[in-house]
Amino acid sequence: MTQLRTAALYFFCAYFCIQLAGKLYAPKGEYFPVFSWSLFSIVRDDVYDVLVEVERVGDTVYSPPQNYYELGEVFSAAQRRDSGVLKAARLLTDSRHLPEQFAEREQEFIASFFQVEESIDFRIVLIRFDPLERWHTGQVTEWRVVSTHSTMDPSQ
Amino acid sequence: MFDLAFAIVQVFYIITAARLYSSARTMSHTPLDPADLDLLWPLAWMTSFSADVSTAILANAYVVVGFLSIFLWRFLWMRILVMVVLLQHTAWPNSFGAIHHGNHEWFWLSVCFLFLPTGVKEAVRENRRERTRFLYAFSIAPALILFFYSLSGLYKVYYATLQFAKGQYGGFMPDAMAQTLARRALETGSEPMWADVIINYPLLGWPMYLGLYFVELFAIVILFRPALHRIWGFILIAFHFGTLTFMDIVFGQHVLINGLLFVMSPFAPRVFNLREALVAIPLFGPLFVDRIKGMGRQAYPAE
Repeated sequence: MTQLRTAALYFFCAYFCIQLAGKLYAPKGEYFPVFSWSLFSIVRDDVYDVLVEVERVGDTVYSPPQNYYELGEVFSAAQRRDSGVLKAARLLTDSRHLPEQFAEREQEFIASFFQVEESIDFRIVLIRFDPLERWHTGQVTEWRVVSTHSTMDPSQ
Repeated sequence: MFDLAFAIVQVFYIITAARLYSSARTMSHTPLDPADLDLLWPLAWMTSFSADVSTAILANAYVVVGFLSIFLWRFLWMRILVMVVLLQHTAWPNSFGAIHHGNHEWFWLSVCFLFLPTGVKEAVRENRRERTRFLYAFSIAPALILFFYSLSGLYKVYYATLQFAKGQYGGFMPDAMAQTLARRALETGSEPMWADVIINYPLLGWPMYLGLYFVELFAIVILFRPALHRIWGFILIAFHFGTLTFMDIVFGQHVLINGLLFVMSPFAPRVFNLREALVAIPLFGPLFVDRIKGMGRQAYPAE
């Protein structure tokens, strides 16, 4: 029983250390599968975030560009409100000053969330806002395009 | 106590089999090219095979291991196999650029159950030492789940305290829950069922949010207070119903886990005793000690 207790203690201590290291140093915030369970830990009234806006799908041009999540009829991830799209877009934006990593993440992003039979133009927009104010009025305090992307037509 | 703990482990492996069974079908119908994905390390082996072959290997592993685990989980080698397969199963949906956390706890439960002694149920039950060892090893599972909640609470309270000390807006503010819900709903354009209520009347969310901090932070303490196992189980399930209704975030497996480990806790007293429970509440329990003094304590019926 003592051995079991010792093993369990080591297990918990190891988990604690690895989750902390992952939160501090891992590119995706965790050394999979050791997660910190830090979810919605920081509450702010002044938030920076990204939007994925689609400008064109095949021959359909969206003017103004449409939020990815509004195109549920085109993208399955949008239909199921998959927050992974935003998580991946944030990672992509974070790597925009590292060309190699950016290209790699862009390819993964497109492969994961833009798998349709037509070419697509989309952009990633950085916004700053107070969530409650944006909810009630739609106002953001800052808005700028950080990157634009195009996918290849799979039929070509 | 032992029989219930044993039954809970059995149910865990039956549900594991059912989950792997459903995933096997999805896997075998959607062969994706591993080269296009952001494969997590447990799935790195997939790059050595074509899309068809690698997904077929996974799907077959799900079917075979899932099925056999229902009958053979009492053997350590089987539980190791289940753990390895669940690691793959957890890694797969997280290999598309972002990591979600709906499956993590289930995988970690399979790790906890590696500590269980091997043996036939009757033999373990008849041997006091083995029976105790089984219960002790079993308790690592609820301990880990409560530890996860405490970690979550620790980070929330840490950041909120830090912001409060700096005079910044943070998690202790009266409209913190409303801000969190609004941000989440705006992120994905979702329309959670009850988010409007809190966003329009933010003060309603304040006690709930502070209550959540308390429930999460002190979760690990509950492990040592069996009188609260069921109540905390219900509260944690209510919390996950809250993530659905207020945030449109589904944690279905967590509802199941809290139900199995805490609402059905083999360590909880058979008969719920309100006074015992009140005194056992972390931090606030001592406030009730004087109030119940002299009222007598109802003994639990002998098992």
